[in-house]
Amino acid sequence: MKTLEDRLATVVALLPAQEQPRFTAPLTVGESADSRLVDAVRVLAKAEGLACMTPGEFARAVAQHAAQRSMPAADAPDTDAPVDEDSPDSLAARFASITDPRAQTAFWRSLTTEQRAAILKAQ
Amino acid sequence: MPNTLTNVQDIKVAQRALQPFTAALTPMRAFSTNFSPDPANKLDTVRVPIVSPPSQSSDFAGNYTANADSTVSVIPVQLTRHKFKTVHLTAREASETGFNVLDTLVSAAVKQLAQDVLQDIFSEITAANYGAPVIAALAPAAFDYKKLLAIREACSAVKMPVTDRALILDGAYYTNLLGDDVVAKGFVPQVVQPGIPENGEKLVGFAAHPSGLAVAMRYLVPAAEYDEAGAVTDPETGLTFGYLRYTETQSNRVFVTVECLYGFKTALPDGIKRIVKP
Repeated sequence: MKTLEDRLATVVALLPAQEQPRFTAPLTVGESADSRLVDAVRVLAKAEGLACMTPGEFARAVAQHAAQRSMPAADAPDTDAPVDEDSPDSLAARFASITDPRAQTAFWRSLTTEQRAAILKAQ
Repeated sequence: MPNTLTNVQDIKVAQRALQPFTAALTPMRAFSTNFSPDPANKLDTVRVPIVSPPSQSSDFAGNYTANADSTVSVIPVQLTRHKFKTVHLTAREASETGFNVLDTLVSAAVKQLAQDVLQDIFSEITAANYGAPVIAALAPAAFDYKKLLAIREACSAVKMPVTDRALILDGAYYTNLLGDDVVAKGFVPQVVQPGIPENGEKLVGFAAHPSGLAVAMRYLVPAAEYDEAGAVTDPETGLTFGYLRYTETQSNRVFVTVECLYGFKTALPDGIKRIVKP
């Protein structure tokens, strides 16, 4: 079974030559073979062109990306306003689009008294 | 050509009239039906499924298909009947009335149309189609819970399924039954139908199972041009009437015609048991 040191040596061997010395130097205080292996894998991934970030790096990258892509809020023109599906005109248009008597009865029954009155007034 | 109404005022009038129409035709639930707003012409044939009583359940012996029932048969019913009622409104009537008088006129016409259709369908319930009365002829005052039990027994004797059975009675017989203490204190479901046609045979009521009579209903597409024309239907039952509005400019009148295209045919003779008066 491979030890952490063996795995670290395997990964380090794959790193670019300029990155290898810092992973072959003696362990410093607060550093372990485990944390060094994680860092070595991350460096290897970056060297291979993969995005491999720490959570902090990821959050900063997202914020930067969002800042680049975002646009200032602008008032939408009236023509792009969302359609009010309960407006008399909208209800009347839906009535006009119904071609099945069953659906027509079902739709009429689904309307409130106020909606029916509004449609009748609109027409 | 779409068969829906397009004018919302007409839709409102028609939808209000649909309620009394379906209510008046409630007894149709006692029969096998095929109702739809699909367009059809007079004398077209509609296939009405008749579900007969199933045979007994089988003990499982390795195969679910053993003793499979084939109890759904189909009866072709020709749409031979076409009834209509027309109401009209003058400009003066419209102006002198505070409420929408057309609503009331059309609702009343549709209710009458439904009653006439029902009476016509009941005309099929004759001795020639369904045999002798289920119990001896009796007057309304003699119709009590014991007679009801006798009818029940007769229905069971011909293996009429208990589920979906209906009892349709003339108003006087139903009233007397309600006056019976046993019935009044119990929960015996009945459908009252005042005005059952005697059919020349003194018919006053009948017990029925859907397998006894097949009824079909469709929408008759008008051939002429109308100001407004379309089918008005109840989505649950398919009960449908046609609605036509047109104007007569010479007399300044608005006409509304409501119509019904339908047909009916005897199915299983044991599906209906007649009750007659002396």
